[in-house]
Amino acid sequence: MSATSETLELLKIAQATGDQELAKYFTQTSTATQGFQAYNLEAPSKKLIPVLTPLRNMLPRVSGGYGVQANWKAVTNINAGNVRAGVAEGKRGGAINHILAERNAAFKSLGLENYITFEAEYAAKNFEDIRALAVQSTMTGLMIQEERVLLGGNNSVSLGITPTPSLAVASGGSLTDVSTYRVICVALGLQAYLDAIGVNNGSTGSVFSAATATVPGSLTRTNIDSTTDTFGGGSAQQSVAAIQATSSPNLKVSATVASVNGAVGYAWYIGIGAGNERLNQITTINSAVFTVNSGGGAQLASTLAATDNSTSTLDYDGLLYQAVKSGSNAYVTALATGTAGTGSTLTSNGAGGINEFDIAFQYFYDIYRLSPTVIFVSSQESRNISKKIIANAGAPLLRQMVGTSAESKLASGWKVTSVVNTTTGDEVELRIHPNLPAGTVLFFTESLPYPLSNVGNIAQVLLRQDYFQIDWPITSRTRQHGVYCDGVLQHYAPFSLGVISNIANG
Amino acid sequence: MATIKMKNSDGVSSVFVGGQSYAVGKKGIVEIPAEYEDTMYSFGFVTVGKNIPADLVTDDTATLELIASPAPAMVPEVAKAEPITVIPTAAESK
Repeated sequence: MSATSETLELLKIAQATGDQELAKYFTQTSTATQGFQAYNLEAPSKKLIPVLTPLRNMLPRVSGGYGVQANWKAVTNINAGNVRAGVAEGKRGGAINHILAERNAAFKSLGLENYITFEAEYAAKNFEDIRALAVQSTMTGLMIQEERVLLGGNNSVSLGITPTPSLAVASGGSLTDVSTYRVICVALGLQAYLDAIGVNNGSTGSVFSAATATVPGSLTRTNIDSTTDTFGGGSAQQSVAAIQATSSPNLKVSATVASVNGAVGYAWYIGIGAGNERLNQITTINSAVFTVNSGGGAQLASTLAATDNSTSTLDYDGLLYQAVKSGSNAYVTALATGTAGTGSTLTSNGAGGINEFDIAFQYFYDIYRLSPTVIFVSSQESRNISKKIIANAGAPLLRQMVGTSAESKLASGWKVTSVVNTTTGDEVELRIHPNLPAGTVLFFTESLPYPLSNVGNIAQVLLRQDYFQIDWPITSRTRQHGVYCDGVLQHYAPFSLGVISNIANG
Repeated sequence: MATIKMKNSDGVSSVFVGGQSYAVGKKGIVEIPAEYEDTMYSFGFVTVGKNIPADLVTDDTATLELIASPAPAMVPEVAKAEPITVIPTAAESK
């Protein structure tokens, strides 16, 4: 066979097999990763993550802490017997007594860990410095978790056993089974509520789903060093089941429970037969209406141990729990239960303000001669407060004048950013806090109006050690990083705090 | 234990309060321990003798009957409308 015929035979074989395409020209391929095209990857990755830490940003961080707890003494009365000052001629006056209170707050360590394998680091070359990313995201994650503790860490306020719900069966629902329904309620502290609802801080897109949500009970965490920590997830002990028979299909069950001090939400479970109560909804008021059965895959109440898991030994008390703690003397109130499933809303005072705030303002002045400077609210309350103040119970005090313009554009709407303390005349800012649940507002006072109080910062984070990073020794082909801080939220005047909870939407 | 009678008009057929279940009569009347009065308000009940005059309620032993006409105390007072006086603005009065 000549060289020419041999070449032709080889060409025929190549065409017949088809394993490797013999193309006469080049075209753009239909896939992004095969062929001769470049890969247009923008480096580094985009971080589409809200990092919202207003309390952490606002509260002074003071170094110099030592020992196991911060200790201080507070003089709360300089003339306990109210000794009169009038003195008779030639005589001396009466001696006065003071009242001294001992205060303390134990330091707690907060920290998170992260790691990267050698291979992950090789693979990320020319795209992202993942060692830096690992540390940065750990630091950011710690700040977000610290914010949760600063607001809702609960070391000492036991929510106890959730009271047994009261029920009423009525027409108008879609509970399909004619049977005996059992309803269980679990009161939720802030940390448990945020875990169950999902918090869009450090993440986005969380929307509550009863089918997938999990109320945390007692949590056991396996740490990166294989040690474990067990602590309360923030939920109260579940209630005794309330039992109610239905006599026909398509009914609804309304439920109420006595409000629980320190609870920002209530998880409701319903089912037929003991042990079958499944998560149906989570409310921020102390009532609910069940119109449909729980989903088959929803969390069973029986997965929560019959213990109170509301406190965590690993957290210090945040502002909410320093306020509601017995003896704080803070202004703490829960709105009335109202109609089951509807609750009670804030109300207009008919003079451009909010009744419930006015009552609180008067309390703060009458009892402690001070005015809060900030009211932290949820997005729901921010919207409702603006609406109530502008509408003013149907007699608005505002009139919007609109001039004609060539463009005929109108930007309309109001956002109330502060309210006037109707007792003292001080302006009190309304500030949204991303972690504050709907239905709860927090009054905060940034400075004390008392002379020579020796209180520089009314609240501060006293630190034994501020943020630090540990690059752990390499013992395997991974690099491990930890970011930690150690301190406590010190509030010198918890009586200047206030909490209104159980506020319905509207 | 003192009991009270309460009435509901929202179609409630039974209630569970204080760990005990109570059937509601056909006319919406139920007799419960007085300590649960506030709780029952949340389910739309009103108190016979307080929110509804007791003499408008008859007891036929099986269920309690409410006389058809609405009780005076339940009818909200409507403020008499005042005539509206239009005050001309300064520009209009010129």
